Amino acid sequence: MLIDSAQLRSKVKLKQFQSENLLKAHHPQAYKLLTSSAIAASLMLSPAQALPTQAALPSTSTSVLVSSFDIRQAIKDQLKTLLPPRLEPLTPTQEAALTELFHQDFGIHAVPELEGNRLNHVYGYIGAEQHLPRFPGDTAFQHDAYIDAGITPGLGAWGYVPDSQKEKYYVAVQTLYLPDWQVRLPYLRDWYKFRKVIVVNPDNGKAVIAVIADSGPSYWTGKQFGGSPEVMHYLDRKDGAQKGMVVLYFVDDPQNQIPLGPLEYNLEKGPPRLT
Amino acid sequence: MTSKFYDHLIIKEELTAELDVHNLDAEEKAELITLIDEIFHHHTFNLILSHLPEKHHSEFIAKYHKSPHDKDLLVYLKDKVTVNLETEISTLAKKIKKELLEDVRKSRAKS
Repeated sequence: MLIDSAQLRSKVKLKQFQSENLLKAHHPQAYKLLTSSAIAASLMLSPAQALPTQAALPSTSTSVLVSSFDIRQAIKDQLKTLLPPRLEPLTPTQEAALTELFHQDFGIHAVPELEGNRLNHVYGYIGAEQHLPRFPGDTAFQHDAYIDAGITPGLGAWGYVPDSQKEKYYVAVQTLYLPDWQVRLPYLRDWYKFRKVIVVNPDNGKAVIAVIADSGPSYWTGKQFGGSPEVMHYLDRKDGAQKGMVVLYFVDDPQNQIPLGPLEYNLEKGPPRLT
Repeated sequence: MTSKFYDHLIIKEELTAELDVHNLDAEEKAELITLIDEIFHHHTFNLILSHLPEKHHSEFIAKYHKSPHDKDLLVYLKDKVTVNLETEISTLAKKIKKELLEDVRKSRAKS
């Protein structure tokens, strides 16, 4: 018999949260004693073991201690209400709400327009790209994973991608269709080169930080973005008939402090932990 | 979760059996059971502490932490409360179980 386990988990999690709050509200001193002693006992019993993540809470909760699963669930639930069901341009209100959401849940500043630059789409279909060459003679077999994805016969739009991490987590965006691309080519080419972005799959709430390292896909493919094998795998996005949509925003990270790869916790608050 | 002094008053088998018939993987099921245990735990403690005079709270919690499974904790509590705590816990647990069972049943995917 099938069950919607995510839905059930959310319901049970909410009840757990409510029951804990009830105890905390009715007996604050006793609750403090209960939890502080439990933590002390846990520390004494297993000093080298990581403490368990505190139960996840719904977005309305006041707690900051949430696991990556809960962040994904929160993002997924909120995107469901924010995004249009079909591919269409987002309104300024929707765009602003996404910026707020990404800041609230991931602790990053992500925007649809940065330094006066914006893509034609921030919400669209993503297709699977191949690996990009990192150096002359690079082959798919020399990459850490997803060898079957192959490697592009030519270079990326910005040449070799010498940084392996950037090659792993890259996206292709349609810079070639920007209205001012030809006019401002020298400036825009440099501006977009390895520009940091966040890509979010609204169907599962998974997010990845990547860089722009290629141009495409062509408009006739019906897709607006391309993702490296690692990006597509992490986001659980497929190509072809099963293609799905993503949100892609610029990440405002002038100090280059945000690491590339899966984004599984709120960067401002740090990894989930029990305090 | 470690065993608790009140475990025998809370019959959860019906809940775990209901989870068993669904296609949950082991990790999902284990997480749900942990959450369910916590729900019962919070409610049970809320009930106990509501009946136990506040001056005994810290002593009771210290005893509980020392030996959470010790059924003598119930003896200790019975001495200090004016209600039949075992009946109260059982009744409350039945109510919570009913609600949780409904949640599980309502989460059956429509196919």
